[in-house]
Amino acid sequence: MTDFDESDFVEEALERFRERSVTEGPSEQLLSLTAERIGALSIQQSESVFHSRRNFMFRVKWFGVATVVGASILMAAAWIGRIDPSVSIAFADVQKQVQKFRSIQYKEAPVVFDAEGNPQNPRAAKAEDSSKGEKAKGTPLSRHLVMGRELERVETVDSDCQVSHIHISDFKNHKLVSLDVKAKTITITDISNNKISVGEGTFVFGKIEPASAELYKELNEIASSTTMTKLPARKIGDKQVVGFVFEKKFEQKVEQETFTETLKRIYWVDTSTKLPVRIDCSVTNNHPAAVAQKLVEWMKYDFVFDAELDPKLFSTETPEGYTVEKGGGLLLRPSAGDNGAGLSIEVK
Amino acid sequence: MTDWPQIIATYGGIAWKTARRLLNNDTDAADCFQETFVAAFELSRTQTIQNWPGLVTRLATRRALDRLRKRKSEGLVSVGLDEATAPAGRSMPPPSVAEENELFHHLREGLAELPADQAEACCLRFLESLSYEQIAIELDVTVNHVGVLLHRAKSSLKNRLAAFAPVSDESEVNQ
Repeated sequence: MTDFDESDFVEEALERFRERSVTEGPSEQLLSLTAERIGALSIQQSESVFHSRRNFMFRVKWFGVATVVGASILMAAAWIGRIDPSVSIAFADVQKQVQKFRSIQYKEAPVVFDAEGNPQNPRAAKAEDSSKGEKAKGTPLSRHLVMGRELERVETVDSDCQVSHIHISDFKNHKLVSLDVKAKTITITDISNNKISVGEGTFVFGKIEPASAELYKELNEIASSTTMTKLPARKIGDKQVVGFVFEKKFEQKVEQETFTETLKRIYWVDTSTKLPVRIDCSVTNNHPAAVAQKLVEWMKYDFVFDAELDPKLFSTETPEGYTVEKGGGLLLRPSAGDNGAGLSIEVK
Repeated sequence: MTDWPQIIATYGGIAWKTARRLLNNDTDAADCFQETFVAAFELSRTQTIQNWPGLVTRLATRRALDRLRKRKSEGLVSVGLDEATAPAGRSMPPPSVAEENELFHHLREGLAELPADQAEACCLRFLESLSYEQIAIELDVTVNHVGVLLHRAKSSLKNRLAAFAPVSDESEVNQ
């Protein structure tokens, strides 16, 4: 009987195998290659670690650090003026900002906008008031002076750069006056409730317009819930502006067909002051005749906020040398919503 | 933060020796070496490594056995040059060296044929000299189960290496 143990033989073979010499290693090159590979993996996994649920805590910590770093970078960039402030402007900010001022001045002129939205009637911008003695021909325009919410003075400047008409609206006292500067006549209109008395006739409105100056009325009619397209920032003059597009559509029935009239206003707002710099306006109609007549376009520009205005400019009293005229000269535009449909005349 | 160059330099020797011995080929051993540390890196992302030498030994053994199996399944035979040399500190005549090379070749084949857990336990115990307890920890099994794995591994290897078993005195006398 042998005392040979099979298991001992296997163990012995394994022991001899263990004692077998092997090539010296690892080489320096292998060590360095492996370290490089692990280094590369570390970078890759740092990038993909956000996708690992297991590393949730790591992710939270990393996110916290990244937020702090990101905020610091943003603050630094904003501080050195590399961040576009328009990103944070909402139209509601503009509405609030305008309400802060007691007086506003601006000009309004018909223009034609090119494909890039630039006004292509240079005379509009050049046409200044006649008080400066400019005699150059210019596009007729109007100058608007607004005080408070209820007093508005509109001066119509003709192509000879002369003020031809002055319209003063006192919405608080329901009084509108129109002065024909050349003819030295004045028309006084009384507006109360939903009626406007002009001379011997009374116009009855289906709806009374809000009793405030036009600019405020336009701004206030844009509800906070209105979705306005925001246009990319650009320069107007030396000001960085961002655009807000407001559109309102009205249906018109002409014979048996319905057409759509679209009122569009683009508010170009100074990104630093959040105040309008220019308001581009247009009315288009898909009626063939309207298309043939091209677009009706105009712009409001040269805004001045909070300038000192003489209250006498808004007086509805008859100036010396003027004669009161009955009827005519009425500067009232039916609201876009009424579109004239609710206007009727009632003769007393 | 793990200092990987330091870890690789410190425990690289263990990984290399394990891989090189089992694979008997520098190229395969180098590949196995890298795979070992990549696997260690992956593990370190999800758990704290308490025993680096144990981990590196286990991973290197597992990767080397995987390569052995792959090589066997593909019918590849790899014999390194150093295989022809005698074990350290031993002087053997050429026929014994050749015989031993043949034994080791069959031993590798036998390990490649074993179930993975048995092969791993066998290598850790007899090639890496780990205790039953250490093997139990590394393989996440009980100590008793390590005993079972080793017993089965040795039984399988006995059959595989039967041709190399020493002849008993009794059988020599009978002859």
